[in-house]
Amino acid sequence: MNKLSTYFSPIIALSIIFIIWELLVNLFSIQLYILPAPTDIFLSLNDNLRELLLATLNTLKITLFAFLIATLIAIGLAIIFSLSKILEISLYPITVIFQVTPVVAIAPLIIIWVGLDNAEMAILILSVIVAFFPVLANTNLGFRSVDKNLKELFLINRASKWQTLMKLNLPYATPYILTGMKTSIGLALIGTVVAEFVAGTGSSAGLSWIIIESGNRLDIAKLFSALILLVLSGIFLFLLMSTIEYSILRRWHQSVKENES
Amino acid sequence: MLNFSNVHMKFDKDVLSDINLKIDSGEFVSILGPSGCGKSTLLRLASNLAKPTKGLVDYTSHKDLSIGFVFQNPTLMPWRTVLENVTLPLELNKKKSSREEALMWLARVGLKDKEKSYPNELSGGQMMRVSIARSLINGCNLLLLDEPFAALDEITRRKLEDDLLEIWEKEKFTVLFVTHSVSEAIYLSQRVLVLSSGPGKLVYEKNISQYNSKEEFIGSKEFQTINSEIFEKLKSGVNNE
Ligand SMILES: Nc1ncnc2c1ncn2[C@@H]1O[C@H](COP(=O)(O)OP(=O)(O)O)[C@@H](O)[C@H]1O
Ligand SMILES: [Mg+2]
Repeated sequence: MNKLSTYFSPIIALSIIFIIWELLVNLFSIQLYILPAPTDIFLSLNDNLRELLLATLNTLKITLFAFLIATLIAIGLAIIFSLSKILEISLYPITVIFQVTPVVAIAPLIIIWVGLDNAEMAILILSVIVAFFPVLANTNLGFRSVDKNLKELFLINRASKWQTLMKLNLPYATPYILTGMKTSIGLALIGTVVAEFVAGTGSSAGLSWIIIESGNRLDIAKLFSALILLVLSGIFLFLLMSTIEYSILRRWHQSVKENES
Repeated sequence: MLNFSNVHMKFDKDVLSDINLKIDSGEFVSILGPSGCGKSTLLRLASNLAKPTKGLVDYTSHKDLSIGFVFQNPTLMPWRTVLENVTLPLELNKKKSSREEALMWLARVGLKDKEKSYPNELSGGQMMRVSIARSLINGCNLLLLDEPFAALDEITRRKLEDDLLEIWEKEKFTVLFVTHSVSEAIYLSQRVLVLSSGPGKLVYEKNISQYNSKEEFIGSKEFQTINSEIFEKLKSGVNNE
């Protein structure tokens, strides 16, 4: 399997699906408000491009912002846990509670707390709640996996806690943190979209708003265009994190080396 | 340099018992013993990583004590270059991280042009050389090695042994070398100790006469005699279990 075919095979498969889809819709004369043909979708995408791109940008903006905050909170918590066993066993279960509670269930509470006219803030908070756990769990795992002999080396050299954190624990946990971030960035997008559904929209509409609105008006072609942009956003975010991961780990981490060969 | 007086060490069971040991400044001492007899524990006590259950471990030259530790695995940091791995002890001791000094040590362990490489680009022997350079850079006067060459092939191993000896002969730091290879212990050191197992006790001690050349020594009758004596000791130590 060469590189080119790994990139082109899915594209060819998708194209074939689109062609069959187009043919079936035409053959059975399916109504536009039930299932639009791919050409209708692309026309709608073209017609509403400005509005759709703006919505995508809004969703992406909140997603990335939430992802960054979630990452910082998660790494910060993991560092605190690594310094204090007591705080870890007291607080970790609480973070698990956040993780297992469906975001739609806590959404009303958050919306009331931040104020109904503050939808964007509510969306951001909900998205952070959805996204932070994988980074926390993976950073935690990374800290626990630090090589025992390296720890002893730092002890023999009388390294301070700060030195051990900065020069040993964080670098050692970096591949783990990045793995967590790859999961989290996808969750942040899901969190943002779900929260947009529940919290409604503030001054700037996201993709969820377009989906709700075009659904209500049975503009299924536009709904599909919004879905396509949502999928593309997800792929973009994943590729973004993969690129960041690759450029950080390129020189030293074994898994990167193995993937190359 | 390093004194063990009546040292006992107990985890779930007694691991070391009644260890009395005095190591002089500049000495090269090897410790032999079956695996699990407490050799690593002894080194952890010597490096202050662990405190004995009973007894005392102390050093005669407290002031400028600088301990270097070489583990069985090279224990390098994969995210740092070879050079950055070697300078680590200087950084941790808040000394100026000196590139020149690190380069000098790399040259002395035979890794002149590898400073920019990453650990995963090196062979096992080369990684161990980096580990040795790192253990020596901070003015080491007590070097503790825990089966450092156990994972290397015979030829690489012999080269590293000779290079270590050459550096030691110049620098005259104190060496405590743990190994389970009898010939390695005899070949390298001035004094060989054997630790029995369950609980670990020092059951044999032998000073090794120094020959003009190591080649001559390996061929000598003395080498053979000590070799078989130690084998006997090790066998009986295991039988006692
Ligand atoms: N931190 C520890 N906690 C409990 N038992 C230990 C610990 N370190 C070593 N031991 C036990 O002490 C014994 C000696 O271990 P070790 O010193 O590593 O032996 P060696 O290096 O000679 O193979 C082993 O039985 C091991 O299980
Ligand atoms: Mg051991």
